[in-house]
Amino acid sequence: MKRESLENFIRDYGKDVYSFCLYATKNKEHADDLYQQTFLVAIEKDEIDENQNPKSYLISIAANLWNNQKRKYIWRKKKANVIYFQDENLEQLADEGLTVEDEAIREDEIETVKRLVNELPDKMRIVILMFYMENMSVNEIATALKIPEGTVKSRIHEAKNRLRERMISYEGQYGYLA
Amino acid sequence: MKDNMDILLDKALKPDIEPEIELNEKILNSVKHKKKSLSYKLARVAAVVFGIALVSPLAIYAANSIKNKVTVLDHGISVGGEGDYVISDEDLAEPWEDIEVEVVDYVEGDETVKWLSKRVERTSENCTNTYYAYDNYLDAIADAGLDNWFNTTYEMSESVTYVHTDAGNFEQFCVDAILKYNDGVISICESKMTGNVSENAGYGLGLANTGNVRTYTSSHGLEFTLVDEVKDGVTTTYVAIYYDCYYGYISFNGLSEEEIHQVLDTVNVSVVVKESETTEETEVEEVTETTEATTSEEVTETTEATTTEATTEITE
Repeated sequence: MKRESLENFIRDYGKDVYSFCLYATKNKEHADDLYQQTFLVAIEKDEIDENQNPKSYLISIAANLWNNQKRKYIWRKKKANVIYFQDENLEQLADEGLTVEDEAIREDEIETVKRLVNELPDKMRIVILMFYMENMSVNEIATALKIPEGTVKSRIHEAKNRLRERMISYEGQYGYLA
Repeated sequence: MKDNMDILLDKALKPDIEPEIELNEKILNSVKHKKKSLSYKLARVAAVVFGIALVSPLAIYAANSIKNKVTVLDHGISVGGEGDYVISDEDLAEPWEDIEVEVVDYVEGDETVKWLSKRVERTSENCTNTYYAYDNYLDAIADAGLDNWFNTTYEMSESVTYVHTDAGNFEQFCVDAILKYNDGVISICESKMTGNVSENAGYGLGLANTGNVRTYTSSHGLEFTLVDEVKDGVTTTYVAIYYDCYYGYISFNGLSEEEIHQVLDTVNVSVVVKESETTEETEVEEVTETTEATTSEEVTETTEATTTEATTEITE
């Protein structure tokens, strides 16, 4: 693969791939490794096609590398999954008509969802990241992870249910509007 | 049609985290190499050491017996070995160095093989490590030519990895798996080494600290030494195993002492001993005597050291 091509892929998809790696591994050091390995495997295989959704291809590599590697980390840091990065870019709603108070509550909801996503089991979290963060289709996710489409849908459905239940529990605890 | 949770997830998981410039530079610089294979440095590793070939001079492998003289040290567990081949605390405390690793191949499995993917790496120490990922523990054990230490089947918690190391004058076959038991986790790492390995070689398991040392005699009459390591507030109980040419450990997280005993009752490495060419009765008797002596003389309880941060990626 030519350096120029690689530069373009990194420029166009580096942020997507790195964000995925960070949310998947929940650790900056591991994310850096996974990010680097993803591109190195892609370079080695030299099969990226600009016309065939290269982002999806790269995310597939990252997801599979992580699935094959993470067992090395889990049993050591089962309870120490501190999220390394500081999220300084709170998502602001562009909805019109929200009061300042409503926007603050919404920001907290978004932060809560981020934290709850990180607490999902790995298999669910990977699928959620691929679907919502990387906008991959169910079919693309199924192909990448070599699992049935039904399993993908099931994991998304179950993950959302868990998030809803935890959100309700969280909101109840802190008195937010349901 | 999107619901409120879909909208929340879309907003919460927007990919907006940039990698560091240096990281991208490292990747870009890798294509400068004229060779097809690529090199990059892995992060520093490991609280786990397989001490046989890494710390001892080598000789032709000949032994065929259980070597379960266990010594608990400040930085891990030392099992077996004779003379200079006994793993010391200094050996286990020695920091790992960063090594260069080249990814030379990556292949995904198909219907003709049991593994899901295979990655081949070459290290700066001229070892070739082949990593096979499986979704079935027994398949990995079978492909690696190892024994199934358990006489029952535990549900897998995560995928299994079989690593084959070819160092020229010796080979190592290692299977790593995480299994479920009740609400806890059993981790097992089993290895076998063949080739130029001394019959006096010892095995060392490096830990951040050691404590709460105790023994348990299983229903099969095997005596295990249990050692706790505490890191980041998490206690992991380890049992080192070393017999014949097989070595490794079983560790437990989130299990009570009784549950750990239940699992150890399903460990039946004596099955392998009975299948060896040496006299099985003699072998078992020798083991028992050695173990009892070990219990009274060799097992020592150490104070816990300060926990240190370490990643758990295993490199060769």
